[in-house]
Amino acid sequence: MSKIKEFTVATSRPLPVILLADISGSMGSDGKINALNTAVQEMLSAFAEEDTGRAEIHVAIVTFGGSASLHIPLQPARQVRWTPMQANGGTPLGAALNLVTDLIEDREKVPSRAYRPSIVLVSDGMPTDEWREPLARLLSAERAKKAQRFALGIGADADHNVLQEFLADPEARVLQAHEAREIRKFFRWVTMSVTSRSRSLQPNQVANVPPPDLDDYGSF
Amino acid sequence: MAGGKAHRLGAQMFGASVRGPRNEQAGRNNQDAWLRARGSAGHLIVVCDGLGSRVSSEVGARAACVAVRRAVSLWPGVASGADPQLLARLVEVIWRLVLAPRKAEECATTCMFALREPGGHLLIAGLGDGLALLRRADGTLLTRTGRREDDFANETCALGTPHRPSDWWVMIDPPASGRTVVLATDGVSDDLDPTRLDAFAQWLAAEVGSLSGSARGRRLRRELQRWPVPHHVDDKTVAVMVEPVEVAS
Repeated sequence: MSKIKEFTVATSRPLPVILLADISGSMGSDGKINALNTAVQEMLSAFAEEDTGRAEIHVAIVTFGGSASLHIPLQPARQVRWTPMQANGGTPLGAALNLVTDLIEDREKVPSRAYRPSIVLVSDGMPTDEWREPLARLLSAERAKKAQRFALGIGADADHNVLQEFLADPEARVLQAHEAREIRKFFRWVTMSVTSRSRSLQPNQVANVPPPDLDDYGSF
Repeated sequence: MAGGKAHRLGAQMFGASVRGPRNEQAGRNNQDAWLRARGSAGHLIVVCDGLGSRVSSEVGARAACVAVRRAVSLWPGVASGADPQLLARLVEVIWRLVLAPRKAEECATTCMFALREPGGHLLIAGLGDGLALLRRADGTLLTRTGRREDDFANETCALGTPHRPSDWWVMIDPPASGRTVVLATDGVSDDLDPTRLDAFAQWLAAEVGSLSGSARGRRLRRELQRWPVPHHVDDKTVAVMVEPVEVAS
């Protein structure tokens, strides 16, 4: 019988994954919101079944459509009770970015024993609120700036400049889903990247998982 | 308790260090190191955690233990009025001298130590993550960690990484008796329940400390080897100093 068990926590170190999901009204067309719901649900199931990792994957979902809100509070993936997202309203990305920054900077919610978080941004349009200052805040915040970032533009109207600025890395590529079914490809890649990190002996290091067979916006 | 004679008596010092699953799988040695020493400078325990990402962190951690031991032998004591930050700088200089010709950045390591001076002052200092815990006889608990506000797990400043002199923290406690000092690397401290730190210190002092000689280290080692937190990866090291309690004559 281990005596030291009386003095330790019972859980693995968390690896937080925060999804920033655009659920504006335009996501309601062409089956995009349904494809997003399916893809996110698959990702959550994969994370929940991931029990071989060095870290426990925790997930939060911040949605922005009409207003920004915490659709799923940060919690272990296996505890998430999924409710589908509904498309509605404008695209308040700035407010959503502020929610993410506040979450990561909160040491009660993301403790110092956590591994570096991942932030996944998915959007099909242009922000309808002031987003530059909230993005600058996220990219300069003590902890949030260290997060691994992924970005997916959906459809032809996605603002790839905004998404590229979110990545803040000239080497990183914004991926593009021309069709709803390609959203799933992106989320499978995110799932593989995160689970590779959680299984790694160095979960803070970004896993080298090749991006999926999706277009990127390139640069010029 | 200041002015008592108990601080002139010896203090118990024990500790243990075990290799974590990450280094076991990679075929690497334990990158932590610890040391206990007794001499004219007083009683000393040191705990160092070599950064796993550096090729010679094991050497760096051991060298840091040696550097602290040499540095405290030159330390005039808290009562002299000397700035304890000078002791930290001395540790850094000696560490680099011990390592030469190796590059310091290849040997990066955290460093934490507790010195109980012959006059009874306790000087506890550290650079980087991990936990220092001081429990006084009256039950007061003081804790310090060198983890910066923006650090996540396995991120830390250390000897051999860019840092400022002010990244060293120093805690001084006036002469007393019956104190317990626990130093732990982050492989231990990150998994400790913050509400159970006092109980942890008491268990180390009263239960493990009551064992004889080398049995203390063996017991502690067994506990560290059976670490109960799921999916833990780090090396684990704990060093303990237990002062005797003054007995009224």
